[in-house]
Amino acid sequence: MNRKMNIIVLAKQVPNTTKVRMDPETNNLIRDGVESIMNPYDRSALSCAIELKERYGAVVKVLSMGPDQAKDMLYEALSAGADEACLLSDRVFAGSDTLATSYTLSAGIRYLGIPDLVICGRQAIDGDTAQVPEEIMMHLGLACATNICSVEAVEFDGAAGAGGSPEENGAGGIPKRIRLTKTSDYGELVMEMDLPGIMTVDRGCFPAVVPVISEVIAAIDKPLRVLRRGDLEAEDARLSRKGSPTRVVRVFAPEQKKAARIVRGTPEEQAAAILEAVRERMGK
Amino acid sequence: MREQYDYIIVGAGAMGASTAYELAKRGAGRILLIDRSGAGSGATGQAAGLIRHHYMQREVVEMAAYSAGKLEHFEEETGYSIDYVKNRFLYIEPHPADEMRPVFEMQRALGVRTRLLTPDEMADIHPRGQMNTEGTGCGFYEEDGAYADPYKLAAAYAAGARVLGAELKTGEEFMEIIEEDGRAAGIRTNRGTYYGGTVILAAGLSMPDVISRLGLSMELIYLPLGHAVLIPDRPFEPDILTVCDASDPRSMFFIRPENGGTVLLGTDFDETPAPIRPEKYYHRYSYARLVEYFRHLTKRFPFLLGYRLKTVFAALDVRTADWNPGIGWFPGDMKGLYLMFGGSGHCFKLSPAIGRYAAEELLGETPSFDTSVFSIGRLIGKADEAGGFFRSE
Repeated sequence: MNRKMNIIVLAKQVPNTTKVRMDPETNNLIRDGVESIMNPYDRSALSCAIELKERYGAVVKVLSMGPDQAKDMLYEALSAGADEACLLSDRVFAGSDTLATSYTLSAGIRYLGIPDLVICGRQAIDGDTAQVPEEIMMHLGLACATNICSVEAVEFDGAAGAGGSPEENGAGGIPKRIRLTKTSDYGELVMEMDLPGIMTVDRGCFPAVVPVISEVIAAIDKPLRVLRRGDLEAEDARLSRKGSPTRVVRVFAPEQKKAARIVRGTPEEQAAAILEAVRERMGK
Repeated sequence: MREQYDYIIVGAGAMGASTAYELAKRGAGRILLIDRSGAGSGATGQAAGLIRHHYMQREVVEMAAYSAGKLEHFEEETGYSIDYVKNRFLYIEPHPADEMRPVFEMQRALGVRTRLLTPDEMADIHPRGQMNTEGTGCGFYEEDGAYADPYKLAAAYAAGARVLGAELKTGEEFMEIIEEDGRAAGIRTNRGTYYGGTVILAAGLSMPDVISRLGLSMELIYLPLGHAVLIPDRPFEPDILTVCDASDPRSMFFIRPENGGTVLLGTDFDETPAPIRPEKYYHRYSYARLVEYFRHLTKRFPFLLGYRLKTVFAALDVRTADWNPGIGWFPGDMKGLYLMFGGSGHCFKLSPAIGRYAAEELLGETPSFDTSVFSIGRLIGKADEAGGFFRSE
């Protein structure tokens, strides 16, 4: 068999929110002078895909929706080891909420062909909604697992161990069931998922791929497609503002939490001050 | 009662902070140094930090030589480290050695320890691998080439000025000059009003706007500079040679050791002809342009192909039509106003000389250097109405 595992990574270009300030009067984000970066969670998703590619052999495609300048981010993904990239870019897509975004991305995934696995970052650092992956699950009817920190294939399709190099068809065929570890506040959750499926990863679990210069140069010649509205099979009523039931009513800066108080002095003085503070609080 | 200073300096970058330091050293009275953010936080902090002598004009070589000596012994003089490392410097010229010989002779006559190398002599000069010398004319190899941290330099000058009695106020955004009886009598900032005998504007990226508000017409260009940090196959020693390749004027670059065994690359990133609003500028690069540079770079140094790309960012600076800064008294009707602008990275390595001669000029003394090459007069009227140059909006 010649088919390889297919993976689609979803990536979003976001403003570097660590550098975004808020206008104190309008409460809008000041994005001027702030660079655009690949959402760090998506970078982790890409690294996860590259890890699977190295282990099982896979074709990794990166899909994004955004303005033309997001191409630079896609080239970065190609330099890190992705094989193809695709940008959904059309004015018609502007103003999408998470539902319309997930619908459009699902149409993009259909265009590329439903893969064995879709990998996304858990959330984007600008919107922080963490809704898009689960909505894609719904649109495409895939299995879904969230906040994954490690992946391992446990069952393979096709010629498991029967000929073909790992380069050609992976270590033992195409993964058909994967074992996933999810980290939560309560411990680790190990689960298995039949493919095709979609999963989200946490940031930091899969370290960023640092490309060598020869890969940076080679990436510019890898395939990068830009898809417009006309390329997608989709209903107009479910795209952009029309397909977006969410309305932003108000944006406001979070209330400053009370700052910590630092207790100084000798150990005795510090202990006395802490005791005093506890008594004060209990008295209220 | 209004607060009165003798000198108010706007901008604590390499030029402003060194001038404050040199004024304070001369006991020039009450000095106020203000900055929008902090010392070295603007264009200076993003400069490459290269220290070299290789310039075409005698006057600039003299200043570079004086400054290189000062930077080498900066810590001894001021007590502040600027992470100075002497690593030698190779400047690659597109022109052959016989054409460049007059420049070489001029530099030697001024005491610069430099050698003129042929392409063949340069081929094996980098300790990490062969250099492809195709398209190079010759090289200037300086024994006293070095690098240092420009941010630390500006911060050290500002701190040094404070120790000597100058006042430093940060978080002060310059708004306007207060003019009284044909003189610059002070400044207004977002936080307050300050009066002074002389106002010195060295506000880096804001200077094109300031200059156009003062009614001066000249060509000032925002210059994006691309930087990249690479991780080599094995760590770079801090004293590995700096190479600056100017053999292709469309694609100049330098390569030098950076902290932690990494490699710092810098390139002219002049790809945006449209006017830039500095407050809207974000440190972006186009991937296609990046690849173009890496192709050029790896053609010269094939060993770079295997190095890893850690990070890329673009810095912004201002340059004049001839790449020399403009420094001097405001050439208009207002008295008591001194301007410093168009550093374009050179003013880091020249700041000891610039600070000194600015202080001398401000105090009415004869400057120790021939400063005609930096005169503001030479720039007036050089505005170009075609795109590509700054216009205040």
